[in-house]
Amino acid sequence: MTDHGAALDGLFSPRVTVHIGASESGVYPAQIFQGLMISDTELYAVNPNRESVFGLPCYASVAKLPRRADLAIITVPRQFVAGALSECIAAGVRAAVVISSGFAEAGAEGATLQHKIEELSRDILVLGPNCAGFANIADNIIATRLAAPSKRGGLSFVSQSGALMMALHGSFSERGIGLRQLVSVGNQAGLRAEDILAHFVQDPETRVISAFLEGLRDGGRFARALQESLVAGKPVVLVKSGRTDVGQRLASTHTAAVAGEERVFESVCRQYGAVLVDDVDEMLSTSLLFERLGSLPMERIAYITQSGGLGSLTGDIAKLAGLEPRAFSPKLEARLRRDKTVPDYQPILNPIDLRGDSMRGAGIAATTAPFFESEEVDLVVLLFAKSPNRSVEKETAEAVISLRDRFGKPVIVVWVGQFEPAEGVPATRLMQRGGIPVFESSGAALRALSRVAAWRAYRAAYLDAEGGSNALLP
Amino acid sequence: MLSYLESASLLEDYGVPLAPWKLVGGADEAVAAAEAIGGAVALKLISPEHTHKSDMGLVRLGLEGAIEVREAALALLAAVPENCEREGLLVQPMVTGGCEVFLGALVDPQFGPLVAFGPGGIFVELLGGVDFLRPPFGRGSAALFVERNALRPLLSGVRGRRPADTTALVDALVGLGRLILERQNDVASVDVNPFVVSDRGALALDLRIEEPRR
Repeated sequence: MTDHGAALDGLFSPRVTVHIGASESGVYPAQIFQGLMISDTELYAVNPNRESVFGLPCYASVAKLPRRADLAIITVPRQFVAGALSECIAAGVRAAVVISSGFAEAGAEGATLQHKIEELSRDILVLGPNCAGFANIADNIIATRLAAPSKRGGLSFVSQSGALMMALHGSFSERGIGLRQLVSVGNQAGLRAEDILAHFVQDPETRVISAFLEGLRDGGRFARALQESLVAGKPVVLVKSGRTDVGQRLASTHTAAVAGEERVFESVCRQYGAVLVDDVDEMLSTSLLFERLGSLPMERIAYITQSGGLGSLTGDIAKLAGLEPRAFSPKLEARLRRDKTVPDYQPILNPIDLRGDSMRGAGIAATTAPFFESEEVDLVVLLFAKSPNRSVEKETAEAVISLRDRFGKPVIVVWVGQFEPAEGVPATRLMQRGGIPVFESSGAALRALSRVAAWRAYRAAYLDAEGGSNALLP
Repeated sequence: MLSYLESASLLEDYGVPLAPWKLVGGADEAVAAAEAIGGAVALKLISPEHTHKSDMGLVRLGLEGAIEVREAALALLAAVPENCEREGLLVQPMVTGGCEVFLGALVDPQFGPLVAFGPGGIFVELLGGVDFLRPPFGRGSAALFVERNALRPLLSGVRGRRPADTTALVDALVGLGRLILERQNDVASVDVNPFVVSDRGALALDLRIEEPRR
């Protein structure tokens, strides 16, 4: 596969877009068009059977458009897709997203139709068919169906599953992950997940990459993208399905047979530092911390709890996760004694138990300020075990967000006892909206945090081993 | 499959250290080779038709003196049918101690050239703990790879064993990486098993190189 480079920017950031098959009926033809209407692109509709769609005039064909489109979104029935692509090629359209389904996933006839698209993809960039489109959050180009508002940021996501891309957009957004681009590749008749990964690596504003993969065709391109991403300092968080489907049995000492497909995939991920996780919840948690922490230091963690039980449990989990809490220095300890942050009789440990009274409402700002101010703390983990629904906790949330903003120091919140109130918004949701990573258990938070720490350590060792230069890139 | 002679010289070209060896045709030559090597020897029948030598009883270990060597040589030659293709009898010094590992290389249909490393000897099949490293890579990456492998505690010296000298192991991995990258058109896979890593360095005791199916 050639390097598409700048051409992919045209696909994801079109100045002029045409929707072929735009309609007011049908989920994809209608909802995608509506998404495009509020996108930052000049939009045209093509549908020979309609006068207009949602108030915009319809053109009979791409050839009749007053301007050349950069991108075509295609939602026509499968038998018309190849014809639509040919028209696009003739009209000089350089990229197309084929949403239409019924191709290789749907039997022999579909496979034949897809083969035709593969041939045409030599003359036009094709995403799909059978994909859910893409969302370029950064440039506000929404060529897919999104159910929730997005927060802009540095995470780009590629998915071989369209449903998972759209669903995870909701989860990413709810968790407060800042998004840049989301791409679903569908049947990959043209562009493949590997190409999109390589594009994200090249994209200067993408800081974290996540992917849901099913299978790869070009392992070499995939491996190079991972390697370049590691060198560039962009973590890649992967979920892959089909991992237990071992293609070859370990039936002989012959190396080729020992090389189970999965084992090789895992080795390649390991070699280039990609973070392979088992399920989407871990992908969300790990991506969240990579995106929120960026390159801020995180070695010295202050664990501050409102519950002694949650504090001691977190101490155990932290140690097992390789994030053993360090003792606070005599200097910080003296400050805490002076401020009467803890009663005289209480030893000062990490995790430190500040108890409910001082961890509630606006007062939390004053009690936790010593940790935010201290030069010996890189990261603050706040541990709560209570309902986030009492009205005073709204002030807790606001205070935590303002502490983060005031000191520029990362905060992670573990809140055990989350649930949605009958009315109103829980404090946890307010924190997430404010960009604070919130977890429902210490284990979930610290497993994700340990993956971030392991990735940073491996990257440093890798760059050191390879001489820290790009010269090794093939 | 490449002959033993071709395989050995290719591996030596790429810096994979082999235990001293001599390939001979008959029992008399085996005795002479054993005397030249000195000390206890191992004797193996090399036949392209029998790659699982231990399973087939085609390996005799710890042979001392002309009588034992001659007897073992004759038995090995008689162990396979007359019409079976055979390359000869391999005579090697006995190598004791150290950690047996598996080294390999292959051209993966998806990822291209790869180097493999894991538990050696007969355990390669049982443990499945083989990891892969994609060339090109330098000594630093190979050392990091060994460092992160499940075998690391064994190589570090456990239960009174002295820590293995992993320099030779790292060099062999780098050599195999170059070999499979440069020769991927005429080499499909390389098996070096066992490769013995000890505090005195490392030596390949057995090897096998497959050519691509045309």
